[in-house]
Amino acid sequence: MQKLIELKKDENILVSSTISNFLSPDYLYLAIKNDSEILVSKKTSVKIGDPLIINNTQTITSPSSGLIKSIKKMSSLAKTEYFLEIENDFEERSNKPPITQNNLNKLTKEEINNLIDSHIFIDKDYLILNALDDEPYILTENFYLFAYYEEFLELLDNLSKIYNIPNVYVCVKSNSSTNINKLMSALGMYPHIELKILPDLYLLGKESFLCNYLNITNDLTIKASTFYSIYNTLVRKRSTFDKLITISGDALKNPMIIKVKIGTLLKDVVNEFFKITTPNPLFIANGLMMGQVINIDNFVITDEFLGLLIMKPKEPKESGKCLNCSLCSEVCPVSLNPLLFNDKKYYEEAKKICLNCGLCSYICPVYINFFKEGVHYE
Amino acid sequence: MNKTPIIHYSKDKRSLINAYFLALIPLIIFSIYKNGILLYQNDLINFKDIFIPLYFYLISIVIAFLNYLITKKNLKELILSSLILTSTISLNTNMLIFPIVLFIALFITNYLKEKFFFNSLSLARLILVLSLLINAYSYLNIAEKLNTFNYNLFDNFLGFREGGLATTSIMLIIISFIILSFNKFYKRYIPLSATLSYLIFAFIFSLIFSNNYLNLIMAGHIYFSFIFIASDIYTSPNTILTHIIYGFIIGFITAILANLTIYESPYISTFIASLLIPLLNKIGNNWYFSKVTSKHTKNHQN
Repeated sequence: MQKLIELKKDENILVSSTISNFLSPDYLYLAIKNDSEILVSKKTSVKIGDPLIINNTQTITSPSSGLIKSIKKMSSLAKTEYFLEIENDFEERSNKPPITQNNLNKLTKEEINNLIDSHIFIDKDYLILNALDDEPYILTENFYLFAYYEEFLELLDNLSKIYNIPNVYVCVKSNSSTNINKLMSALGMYPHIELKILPDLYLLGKESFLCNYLNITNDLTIKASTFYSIYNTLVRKRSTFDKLITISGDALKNPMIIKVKIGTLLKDVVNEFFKITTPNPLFIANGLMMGQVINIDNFVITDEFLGLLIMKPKEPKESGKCLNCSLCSEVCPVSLNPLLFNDKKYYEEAKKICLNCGLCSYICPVYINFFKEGVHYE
Repeated sequence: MNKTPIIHYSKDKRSLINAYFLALIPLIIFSIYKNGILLYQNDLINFKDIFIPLYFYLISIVIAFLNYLITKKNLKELILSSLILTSTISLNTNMLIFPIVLFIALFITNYLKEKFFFNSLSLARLILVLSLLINAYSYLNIAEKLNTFNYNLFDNFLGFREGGLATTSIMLIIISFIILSFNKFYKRYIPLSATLSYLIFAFIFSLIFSNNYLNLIMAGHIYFSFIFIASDIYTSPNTILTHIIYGFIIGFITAILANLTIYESPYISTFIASLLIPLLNKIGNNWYFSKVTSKHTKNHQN
């Protein structure tokens, strides 16, 4: 069992306990991947659910009704530079009639097969709903469960019955007391769904570490955010256009969890909800450990985006001479030795295994940055 | 790969240095009591001689500062090194020669360690013996020379026996080790494995050389050296496995040498073992190389 550690929390960074909505941005931007084909031309009027982009794996539909404007170069966490711009007409027009929710009790194997790749559920001993966030101060997964726990439990219950999965776990962190209380009362209706309250260990949200911790194999572990998409597909019979994001940081007094449409400009969300008084704040996407500093101008919220930390600027610490304390290799969750990264051969092998979790640099007593864009420490 | 975590563990190198200072305090206070106040209370020395241990410590701080003015190295680290070295010297060290030898020892070893990889504290400590050789080579204070007190084994454990200035109390050394062990960055496996290997091999060699095992294991300066000098802030191998091997080697060599020169043995052994660090790193690195390759192959197969 790999030893995971608990990160000490900064009390200046707060996280909200309520969810706000930002579902009507002026413009939306959909990522155009390399192998994609655009199905619409400029100035086309589109409705919600209209197919806009198609690639090898999926068809991307319009999250909003409006007008196709242009293809723009934007920044995001998706591995693409170009985005299809849609001007929102705020009419929320849709081709399809309003969808009546599927009766979950009538959900059949055949129906599930038609909607999703259902082989993942077959012959599993454990079905795990994972609401553990990896990053400190990012509580996106936790809030997916918080917002949709009744729907999720019902679907979990049905899926476990349909596919005969004997053990169903819902995993939450022990510091998530609101979630725990809600789940405790709701679980009375689902006696075979077990609530697993887990310690607040960094990286415990990763499937391999979670299964290792729970000491289980032959499992299907689904993140709460992914389960939300599954729920939309199976029950609401629609694509997932929206997502929850966390916006927090020590430069903010009122952190928030916000429901946004995928493709929204991050700057629009920030301007709508926050007044930042700190001069030259640092904008960090996806957390303080594994995240990266971004420029929020022209930054598009894509599937990969989980949250934004707005931090007061800090003087970077100068790195010193290595103490050979070996803590970097001791804390590495995949047992690498970061001190060997200056060996090209080792580095190439390590790159394939490294989780980019940042623990080696986090723990280093002399502030060595082990992965400065591939430049090794001296 | 990674983009650098923005947050950092709440402690850094400074906390380790502070822990070393904190761990030294009880030992220094005891040395002033044992080699000053206690002797004065028993009319073995006059009033001004109470301050001899204090003189050595104050002089060591001044010398560290002088070194800092020349080398511009970290003052706190220089003072720490200087205090650790002073804690190990004999009370009979020549008071006039000591500052000069300490200055030279600190200066030379700091210069040499830039070019070669070795434990500079142990070498500096060996150079410091020169300032003792000018007087009679002895680690006994006046009471121990005259055999004034009839100490039992427990008194010895508390620190009432011959040895370096602040290295006689095994009890306080254990407390110092506990203080240091609370710090994540302290290389605790080195003194632990060194002590274990020393206790084992000292027993074996005491049988071979017909020495008193109890005398060998009650020598506090050996443990002091393991805790403060062998686990030097910078000089050590770079993995836990090699820390353990390194400590084991130090304990083994100390056990051999303790039968020849018990007072200097831990410093000589630490210096010798530190020369093996590149080799130990090679062993550790090879282990990590084989591990990363097998892990990658395993991941690939999965």
